[in-house]
Amino acid sequence: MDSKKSIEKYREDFPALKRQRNGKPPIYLDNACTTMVPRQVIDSIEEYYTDYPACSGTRSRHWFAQEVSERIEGNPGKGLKSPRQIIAEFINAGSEKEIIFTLNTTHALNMVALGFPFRSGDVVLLTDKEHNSNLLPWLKLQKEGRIKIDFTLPNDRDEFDLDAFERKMKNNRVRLVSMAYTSNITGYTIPAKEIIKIAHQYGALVLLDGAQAVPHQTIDVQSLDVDFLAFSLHKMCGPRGVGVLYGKKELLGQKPHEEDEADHVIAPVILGGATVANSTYHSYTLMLPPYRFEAGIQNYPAQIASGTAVQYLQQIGMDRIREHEAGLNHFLSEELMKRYGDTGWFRIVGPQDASQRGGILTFEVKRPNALGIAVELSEKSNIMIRDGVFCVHPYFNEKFGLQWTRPISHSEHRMVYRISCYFYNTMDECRIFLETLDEIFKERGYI
Amino acid sequence: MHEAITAYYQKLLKTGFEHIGKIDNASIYLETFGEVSPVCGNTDDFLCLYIQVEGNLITDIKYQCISDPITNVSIEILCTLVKGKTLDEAAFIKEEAFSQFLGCEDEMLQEKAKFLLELLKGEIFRYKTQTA
Repeated sequence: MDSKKSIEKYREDFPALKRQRNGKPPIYLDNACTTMVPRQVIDSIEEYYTDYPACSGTRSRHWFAQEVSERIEGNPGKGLKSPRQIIAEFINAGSEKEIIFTLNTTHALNMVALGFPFRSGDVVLLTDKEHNSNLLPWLKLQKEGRIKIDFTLPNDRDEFDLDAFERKMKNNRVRLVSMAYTSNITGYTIPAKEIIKIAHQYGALVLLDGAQAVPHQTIDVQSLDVDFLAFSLHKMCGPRGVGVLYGKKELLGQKPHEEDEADHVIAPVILGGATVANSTYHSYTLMLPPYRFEAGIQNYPAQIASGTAVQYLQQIGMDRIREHEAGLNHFLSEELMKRYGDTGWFRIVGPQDASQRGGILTFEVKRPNALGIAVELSEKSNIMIRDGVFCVHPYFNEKFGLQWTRPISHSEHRMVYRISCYFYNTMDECRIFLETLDEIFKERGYI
Repeated sequence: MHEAITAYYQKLLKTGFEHIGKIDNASIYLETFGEVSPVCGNTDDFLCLYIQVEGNLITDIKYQCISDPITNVSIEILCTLVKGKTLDEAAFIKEEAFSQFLGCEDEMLQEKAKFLLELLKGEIFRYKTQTA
């Protein structure tokens, strides 16, 4: 692949983007949900199922198992890198042993929540815009009396308030800070490095939900000094059903029995095949990380394809991806505000400065029958965006009131729509989106 | 949307949605949600319908909803068609009445009409059974 070719040329690698409906191509702007998959990743998956659909060599020793192992564990002699190593290098982890394969980000976050040795009275600090994946596990622990949850709130411009955060750290017994690195509502990226530095000063560890960050920017976990980072491959051109939990080596344990570990080490919460070195009728000894956290037969094709997906992104360059998305978002934000900014019923959610929102642009429409715009965009121009609450119910319930989904008056109708770009989106697609939205607003009598 | 539906909807936006509102202690009350309301990602539509019956006559009908324009148009038409009719007459309204009301054929409008009429007929049947 020519790394100098125009970033938009990469869309040729995506079979789904070549489809047509009603003579028009798809305009996929729902990348914060999940991304399209390039041919290279599809081929990786297909190759596994076609050529060596077997267990890896950690279980079996035959020909096919060796071929799986070469792709899962790597074979430098054949120039094969393990997906774990590829991912470790991608986020600059100190070791590939710090990379745990999970089902997805939600699974990874739950592994920390359920495996961390909390003590009674410990506080977990969140922001006001956490995805249910980074809220419900903590709510459950709070309900069981194992932790208390506290929230740090943004400033008036909806940016992270470091002073407010530090006050929370000072006045609470915060044991763990768990936050979305990039918000899936607003696209805003928190100042993680500063947050982590402050948290560590007060003796707390930091877990970042990187689902919306890792696919869109260069991540260096060592420079950040983050303790745990969770993300999903399906949001970065990879296969569905694979996520990653990065954890610093000293937080993942080294002892054969979890009860002997230090009080900051997470314990595996699902045990079984592949997690233990030995077992008797009365006890077991754990494998070293990451294997103690990866119970049962693994999703081999998806793990192999994860490596392919990450290499694909590396070839494009994460900085180029970020720049491209920012350019599209800047254009869309400016055009939308120029057209509807003064209407009183249209607003962009989150910071108004597009450069703070990565590739995400979420807007609110407060008009009668504001529902169904996403469906109309799809019907008219194959434009795919997201509407609803984006799995962040508390934020909208707090901002709009608990009854916002059932307003008494038509004038109170409000609906939120999210556009999320990736590197394969183009300015032409943005223009078609703007034209189609304008047509819908006109038909609806909004303008 | 068919242009006749668009035109009617834009008229409603200007003149107001005549049947929006609530009837306290309505004779018939029904509420329905979309497939999901709201689940993790989506927010879907809902409808609350209030029907006042005196004797066998529908004297008033109001609704509350959050929906898309075509659904809202369909609910407004339903209310207009039903108000002043007897329960039996209301139960015999057909989907075609919606098309005739607007003077257009539209597949989406037919679907919405069918959905709303099935709901209405079910509630009328239940009301009549309970009050017999």
